[in-house]
Amino acid sequence: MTNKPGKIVIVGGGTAGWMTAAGLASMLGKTGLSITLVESAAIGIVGVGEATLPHIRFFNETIGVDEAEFMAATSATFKLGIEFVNWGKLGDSYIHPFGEYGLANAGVPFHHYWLKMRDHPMVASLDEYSLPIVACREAKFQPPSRDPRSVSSTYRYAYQFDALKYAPFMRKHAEERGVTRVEGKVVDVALDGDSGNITSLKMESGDTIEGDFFIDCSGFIGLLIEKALQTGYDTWSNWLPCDRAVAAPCESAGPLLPYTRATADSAGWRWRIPLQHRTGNGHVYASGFTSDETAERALVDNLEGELIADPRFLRFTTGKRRKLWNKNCVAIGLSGGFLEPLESTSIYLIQEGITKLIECFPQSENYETDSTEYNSQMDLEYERIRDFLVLHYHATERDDSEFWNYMRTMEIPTSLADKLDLFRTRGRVAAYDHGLFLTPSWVAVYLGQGIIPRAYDNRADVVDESDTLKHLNGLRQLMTSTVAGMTDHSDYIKTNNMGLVR
Amino acid sequence: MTTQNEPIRKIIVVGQGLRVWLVASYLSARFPAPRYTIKVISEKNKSDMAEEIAGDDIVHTRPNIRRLHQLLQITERELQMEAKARPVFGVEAVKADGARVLLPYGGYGLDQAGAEFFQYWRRADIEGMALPLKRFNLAIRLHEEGKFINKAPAGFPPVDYGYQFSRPGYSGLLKRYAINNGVEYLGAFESVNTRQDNLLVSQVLAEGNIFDCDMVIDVTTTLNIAEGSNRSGQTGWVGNCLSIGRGPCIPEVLGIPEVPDILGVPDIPGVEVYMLQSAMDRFVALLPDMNFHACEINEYNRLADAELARIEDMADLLASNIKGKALQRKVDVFQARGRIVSEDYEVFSKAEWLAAFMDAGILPEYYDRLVDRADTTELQAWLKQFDSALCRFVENSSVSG
Repeated sequence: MTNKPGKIVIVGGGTAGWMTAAGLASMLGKTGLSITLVESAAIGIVGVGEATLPHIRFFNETIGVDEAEFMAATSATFKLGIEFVNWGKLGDSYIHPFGEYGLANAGVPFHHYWLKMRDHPMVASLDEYSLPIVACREAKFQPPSRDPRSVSSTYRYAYQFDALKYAPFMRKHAEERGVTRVEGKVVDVALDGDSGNITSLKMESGDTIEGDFFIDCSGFIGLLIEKALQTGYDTWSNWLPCDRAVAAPCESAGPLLPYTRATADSAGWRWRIPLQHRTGNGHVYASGFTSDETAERALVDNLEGELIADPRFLRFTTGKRRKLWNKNCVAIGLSGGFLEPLESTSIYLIQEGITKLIECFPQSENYETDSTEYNSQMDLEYERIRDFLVLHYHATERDDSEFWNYMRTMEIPTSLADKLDLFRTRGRVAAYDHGLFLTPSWVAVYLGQGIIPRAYDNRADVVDESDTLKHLNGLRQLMTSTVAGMTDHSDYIKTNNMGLVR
Repeated sequence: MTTQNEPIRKIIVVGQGLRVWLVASYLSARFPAPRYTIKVISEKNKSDMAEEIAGDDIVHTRPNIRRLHQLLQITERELQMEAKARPVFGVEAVKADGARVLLPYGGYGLDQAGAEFFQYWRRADIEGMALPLKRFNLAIRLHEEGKFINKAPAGFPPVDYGYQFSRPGYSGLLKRYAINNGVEYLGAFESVNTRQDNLLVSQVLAEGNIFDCDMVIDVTTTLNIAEGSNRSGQTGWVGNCLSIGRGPCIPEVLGIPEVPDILGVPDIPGVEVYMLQSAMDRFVALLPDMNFHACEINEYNRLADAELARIEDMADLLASNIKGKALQRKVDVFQARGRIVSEDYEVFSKAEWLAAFMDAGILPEYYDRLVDRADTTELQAWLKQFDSALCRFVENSSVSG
């Protein structure tokens, strides 16, 4: 048991870098690791992922983050889902909730009963049978119940936070756990002549930083994984052609909503993320279908409050590195790949990268099996998220622009085509044990974007129609009354000492 | 606009013994009469209670069988009285050389601070101070001592249990439940009538009676119900005929003696019943209508193939015959660092895989970096304390049965 990697060097100090530093220091800090993070104040950070998925809570808990302190430090708000506007067709809106729809009955998922009864005058839209959606619409929040018998246990929550504040928050956490920060620019990367492994970084100051294992969090540039190791990149632009974004914060307006909004535009989509002190906005678009000027105008013209900073432009190529772990280097964050943040997956992918790295952390210089396993698990994550994102664009009736005509008619991955076929036939969702998005998420997007199955599960007919109606009405009332008892979202933040007075 | 097609209502299950009555009883609870009709037909010259696995009077089940009992509302007392049920905390698979390996229905030790118990054990093992791993598995200790508990208390490794039954007794019990739920036994099979599009439309009995059907479920292991149609030899779900247990490795896995290449292939008790039950779970979840959509059939077959592949992997590991990409991946990762990779649709638990790896003499070269956080003395004291607590607990548990 010799030659365990002991000196870890992380390059890049944005969200990915400091999350990685905090995660490794918390979990492996007492195992003899020394962790150094190299960053340059002269290089700006992208600040990815202001909106997150519920998994972030597990990460925060694992590394010992106090929720109230975190909320206040990052001006965070709670998040119960994502609203999609104009995706299926212009004028449409649905929420992808972090929770279930209704309750399954006799082994038959709820949405089949809803499909059977949806034309009945007493039956409401599917949204009204989801507690997190009803709470979103009412701008209410309350943490889920721990009692599995309670309807209040049928959802989860995530956060919306200021990514520019999150990295410093993680930095404080990491430095308290022994991470050393080195300020400066990396100007060269030295490789071992035999193994091809990275041996050291040469800094602009002339210093050299040696390491056993390197983590590339340098962003799109991929300073180590691509510039030094020339790993290669697989693009998925044919399915996800958006390649640019323009972001701009504005003043808050209206009630503090516990959800993110993604509004489809003529050549992409616009995000709206409500934070305690401002609203984050952006426009992801395909440069092949629109210009930067038009995209910027579409963003600025649709802001709900006063613009408070100049718009910033970003360029990216959707896809991922051929190997996220190559030689003695792992790429985490934008250096590893990019999937547009339509479903708030950016921070999730960082978190997964860290978690899986800890699981596969090398215990010797021979880590071929570890890297193969890491790459295989991460590839699956990326590919299954990719399919889910492609669904949003493809399942549409929109024909109002060249972009939507392309997306609607393009050839999609077979893995997704099979899933769509199964749902269209009878509302069944292809089952997998691994992958981020589970059945309720697929149901939300399928039905939300107008994929109405040709039939429902025949087992729903075993229950008498009047009993089904009674069940549906009872559930709807339960959702409404439960949400009525929840606290206003902004009041919850204030009364629990989680942040600013608005 | 939703267009509900004509649902299937008449299901015929072909086979005999435990296999047919397990499937028929399951279906009778999911698809109640009179809305649905479920009928049983046995093979030519066989009675409905004939068993296909000659000389094997004992049937093993995995913990998931308790869901079936819950569905049918079968009581523990009935299981004991009629099926001579004995709870089991694992199964002993017989390997090619006749040696046995216990696959436990419960985990090893307790995970700590993000690292699996086995990783702590492996570190202690490498440092030369670990007790045998099996001492930390409550299911194995209960099994060896012939003791029984319903549920492990907090602070102990989790346990689950299945049953060992008398095959004829259990078949009889399930038959009784099926008949009470409206299932009818029609008699022995003679031939099958097909439609122009190759769907099976009726079954002809030895007495010449003809019964219409919407769907046929073939649970025989030697007959192919589709013989006489041009689909003979096909496996899985094709058209309106679902064959369970006819996959290429099933006879091997089940240890059916007349299959010539059985020699050298281990028998995994519990798999036979597990596969029937999970096939029914899948079928019910994908219940077709009279149009028998290809995408639903494909989805069933995709899931069934994956399940079979997982079982084959375990059978191969027990036979020390490492082949196939998924098994090789499992072995490589375990050998490197003691982690058990989970594929989609695993059948066996991590504890069962761990038992099989250990039995095969595959030990990880390294352990997780996470367990380096533990102090050596504290780790040793913790393992000893854990072992003593398990000893005391098992000693004070009731004798099984």
